[in-house]
Amino acid sequence: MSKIISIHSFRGGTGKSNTTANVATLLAARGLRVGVVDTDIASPGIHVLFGMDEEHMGRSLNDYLWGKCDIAETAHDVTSNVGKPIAGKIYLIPSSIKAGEIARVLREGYDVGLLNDGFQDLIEALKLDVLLIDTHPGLNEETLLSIAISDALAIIMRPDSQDYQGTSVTVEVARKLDVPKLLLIVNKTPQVFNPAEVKARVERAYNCDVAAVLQHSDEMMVLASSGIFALHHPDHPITQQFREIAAKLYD
Amino acid sequence: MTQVIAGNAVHAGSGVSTVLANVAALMAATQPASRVGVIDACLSAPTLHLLFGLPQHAFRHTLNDFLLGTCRLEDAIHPIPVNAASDPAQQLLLIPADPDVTAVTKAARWTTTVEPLATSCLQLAADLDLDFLLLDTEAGLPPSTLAALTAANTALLVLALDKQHYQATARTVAVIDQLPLTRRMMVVNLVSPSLLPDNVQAQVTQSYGWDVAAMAPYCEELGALGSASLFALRYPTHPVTAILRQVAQGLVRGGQELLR
Repeated sequence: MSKIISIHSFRGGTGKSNTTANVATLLAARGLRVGVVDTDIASPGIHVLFGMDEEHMGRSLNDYLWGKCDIAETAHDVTSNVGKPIAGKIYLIPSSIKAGEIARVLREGYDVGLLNDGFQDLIEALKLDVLLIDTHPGLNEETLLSIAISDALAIIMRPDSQDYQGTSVTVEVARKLDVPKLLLIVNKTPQVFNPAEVKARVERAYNCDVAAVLQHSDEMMVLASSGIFALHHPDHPITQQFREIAAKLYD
Repeated sequence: MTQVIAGNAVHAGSGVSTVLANVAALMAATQPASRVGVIDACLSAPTLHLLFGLPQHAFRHTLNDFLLGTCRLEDAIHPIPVNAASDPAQQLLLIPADPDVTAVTKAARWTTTVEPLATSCLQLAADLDLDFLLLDTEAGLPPSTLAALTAANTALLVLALDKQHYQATARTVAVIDQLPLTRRMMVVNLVSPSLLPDNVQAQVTQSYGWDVAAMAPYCEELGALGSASLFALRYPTHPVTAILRQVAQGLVRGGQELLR
């Protein structure tokens, strides 16, 4: 039985794409067939983590949404791009990086219902064990749909007042949509904070399980999205936390 | 003549609001103080009011109300003291955006609704005789950002040092290079302390062909402050405050050049 997992944050800049890419890779390393859809159409980014050449991106999610092709034709096998041999498969469905195509989606919108059909088609065509959705920040229609059809949802926030209100509303919405599994991830925590205290405080504030409190890491900063952290630093405490997050979301 | 500065980045979370809010406060609090206005044009994720310590319940009107035609732009002005202890008269003028989740979701879909921003903020700047008007824009180049850039004479692009931002920034630079702006400056943010700033600066200048006004390192104290207030006012002698002051001074100098 395949699973759909959404990774969301109310605001941008929380580390959503990095977390999605690492969870996807760690699940694929267990031998699973993993799909990753970049639905952050306004500011795509996860293709960079999977080493896709922007000049030769080929078909994107936009082409499917505009009826130019089947969604399976927009899937790119990026397994060999992650730098180390892994047992499973990673397929990326990127969003277009062309300014004109981004502008068109922002201006005209698209039929959100197509996303749901597309996700099901992808799972079937590529025989996926798991489909990860890197969502658009905020709480728009496509995000609500992604959340509603997910078996598990991870909401990422930073311990920053800019993230509090939106995260709290997102948690409320996810509860109303009855997501079977809901967890919070606190990311980019300054090292001067005590992670256990942060976890307790956030759990109290949102009345929701905190799967991990990830600390700010200079190694992550130096890697700067040029690769998959978990493969570059397999023994790093953050990689261990990514593994736990992957297990909590999938198992 | 007002120097209108549009602050932008390709992805949210790069630090645009933090840089703009601190720079605005430094310009308004330094002698001779400038007359400074700040508009939160980041309608899908407004946060400037948090940095300036203005609670949402204190909003009379917001930029959203103006764009929806229910108030004048000047009705949405909120004076913010920047030197409360020694000179309560020193203030800047903030026009916040509505951070309510419903408002934010609605505004994210606006296209033509945001167009009046371009001309009305210039009118406001003239009416209030501002020296500087800073516009905190939506990440990327959505219609609201393009409207803000139309009004601006200076673009301030914040580049977070992350590969997801590099190529997207090149595309934004290519667009902004086509606009009739007087100045284009870049602030490189979130620079790892393990990198050599000079090398990074040379690389960025070479890649994009813009002036690098400042290089700001990742800063624990700034992170720990959690955007709950203005870093530069709380830590006046911190090296990061010196960097923010450098950006402010760069803008003030640019303003003087514009006048000549």
